[in-house]
Amino acid sequence: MTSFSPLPYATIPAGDEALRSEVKAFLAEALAAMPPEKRARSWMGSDPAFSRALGRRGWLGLSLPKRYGGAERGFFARFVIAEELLAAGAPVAAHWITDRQSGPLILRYGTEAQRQSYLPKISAGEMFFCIGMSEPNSGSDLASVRTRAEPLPGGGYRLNGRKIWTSNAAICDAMIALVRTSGTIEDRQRGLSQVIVDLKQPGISIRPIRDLSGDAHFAEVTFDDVVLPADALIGEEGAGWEQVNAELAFERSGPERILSSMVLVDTWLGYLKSLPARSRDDVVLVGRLAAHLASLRALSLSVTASLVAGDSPVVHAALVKDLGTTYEQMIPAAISAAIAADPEASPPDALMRTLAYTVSMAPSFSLRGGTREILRGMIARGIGLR
Amino acid sequence: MTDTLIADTADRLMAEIVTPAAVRGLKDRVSAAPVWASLAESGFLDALVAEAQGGAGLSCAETLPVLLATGRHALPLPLAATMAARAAIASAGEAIPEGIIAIAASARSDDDVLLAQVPAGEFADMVLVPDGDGAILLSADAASLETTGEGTFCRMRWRGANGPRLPGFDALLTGARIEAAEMAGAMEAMFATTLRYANDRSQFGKPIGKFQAVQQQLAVMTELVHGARAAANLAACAPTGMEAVAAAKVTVGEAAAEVAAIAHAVHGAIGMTEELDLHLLSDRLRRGRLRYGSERYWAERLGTAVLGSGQATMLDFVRTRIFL
Repeated sequence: MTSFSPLPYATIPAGDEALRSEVKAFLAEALAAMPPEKRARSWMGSDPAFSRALGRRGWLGLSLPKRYGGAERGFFARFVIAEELLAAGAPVAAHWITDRQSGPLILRYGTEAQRQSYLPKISAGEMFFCIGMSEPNSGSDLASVRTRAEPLPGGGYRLNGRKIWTSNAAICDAMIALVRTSGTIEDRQRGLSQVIVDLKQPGISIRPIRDLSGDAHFAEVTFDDVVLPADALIGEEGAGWEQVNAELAFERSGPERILSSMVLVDTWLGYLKSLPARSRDDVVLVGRLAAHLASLRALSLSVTASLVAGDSPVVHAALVKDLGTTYEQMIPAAISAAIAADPEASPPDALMRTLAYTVSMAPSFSLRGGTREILRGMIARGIGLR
Repeated sequence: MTDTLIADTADRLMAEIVTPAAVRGLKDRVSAAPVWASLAESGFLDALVAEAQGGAGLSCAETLPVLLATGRHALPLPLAATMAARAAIASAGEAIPEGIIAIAASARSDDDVLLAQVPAGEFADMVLVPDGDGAILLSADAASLETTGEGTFCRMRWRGANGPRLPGFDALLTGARIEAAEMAGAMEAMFATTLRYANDRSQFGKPIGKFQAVQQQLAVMTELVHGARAAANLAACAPTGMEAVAAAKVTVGEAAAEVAAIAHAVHGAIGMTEELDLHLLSDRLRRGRLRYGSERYWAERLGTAVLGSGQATMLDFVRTRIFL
């Protein structure tokens, strides 16, 4: 066999599993009035008040230590809560990226002062971060970023440049941006650093970008001579590339790479159950959806266990994301075919709206967080082909 | 025995005994005898038999590495079926018979004639045949045997069949679980072979594995192999659960079709030759998909269970019925 072996099978510890019923009860009440086509937005739907409500219940910052306001419960507790939030279609976008990767990043690379300053607010749902990676001319080729943080003589940086496709920039307090602090674009991965940018300061303009469904969750963020203090730097100067890559294991392996179409699945299941009879094709599709969800969940849990052990399973995470998003994209296509298999059927409007939204957004599932082609390139390197 | 110890032992044993030449030579009970004698010496036969009944008392999950190894070497003999059968026979308080035991996928009775569809039946000394909500253990010597000519299963016919009864033994489910695990193993071997070939074979002045089009295919293959292994694992951890076994047979069966296609695409013409061992694995996958219900059969059963369950969501169903 190759060096790229499967990770061991992992299960959720009982103590973390115990969180589930509490979360379910909370969500049943909080989302009672929310129609499926809204819930289908999954982790693209945002409601800062909802995120703060989760923070009050202690369901944010689950992997962060108690001394920074976290729950010190670890990644499996977060897995349980994430699963329930996503399956229900809760509007989690405001805190999602912050909780998933900004918190763990600051804990891992931040100074003590940075940890004390940011982590308690993250755990309380009072501070939201966005991630500044892509630029107008730097997409999949992330090492080509041009946004520059020029070191100033007395310490600190002057920031100029532009980030794009930044999710939720308009409602976030700060951005963790990958920028060039030394060298030129030819230096590629060298000379890149991560900086925390307060988005409320002068010199920053945020232009929301409307997506094809009519939402405006992502934005273009322009920096025009923005002055950053010395402690804006997170981690080491010049180590931005390595830090960003470590973050990707958190970003790519979780339930959000499996469950993006799950509100559609459950809405369709509800419709099927309401029918007097179901076609054999429909029953087979339901079974296939269950089967693949099971194996994907097992893979995702294995990666979670690896994160708990302190490893950075970047290639396994890429594998889960590609396989998971393929599943997420198969769902709206297959359910479209199933629903219209009988031209005389009259499916509920809410189901049709949920389907329309999910079909229209499905292409993004394998774009966000690293495209399918980039991930497969990473896997190819992982198995020793590059 | 620890997990890795079992895996290492099984791998060594199979590499030594189940060579491609040996696999090519396995046609019937006579040709199976010497290979089986070596396998029987290994001590794996009673791995699943309870300690109180003289076995090693291992779980299905603990013996999964043995099934993966038999799959990696495309062993056509029903080693895993014999292991499962011996444990079930012992736990029913019956005497464990000598020899190879196959597990029938289905059976029907007509007057006093019992007709069963038996994967690997051509090698079997004994057969466990579905009977109501259990199975009966029958001697192959008492049956007339008819092969389909392509190795998927035999049709075996008993007149006035009679043998010890194993209440509660689900032959189809057991067979499907074993098949899924061995197929996951066969896919691992197929992947390793294909990866090696992509690194060795040069065209346009460089190994074909340097081309992105080939890399992307091997990346997909990696994903499918990992997914199949995870599914086989789930079934091994819940071996009597219809839902987990169904999920495994569906995931593994669908992956098998794609994995075999990629393996052959990357190998090109050489992969179509008798000489190369690749076809031993692709043929193993072909047989596996056809045995004990295809992915469509199990998807329908699983889908029926989802729609009939009181679970509020798909995730709730999967969580509570498959992850045990």
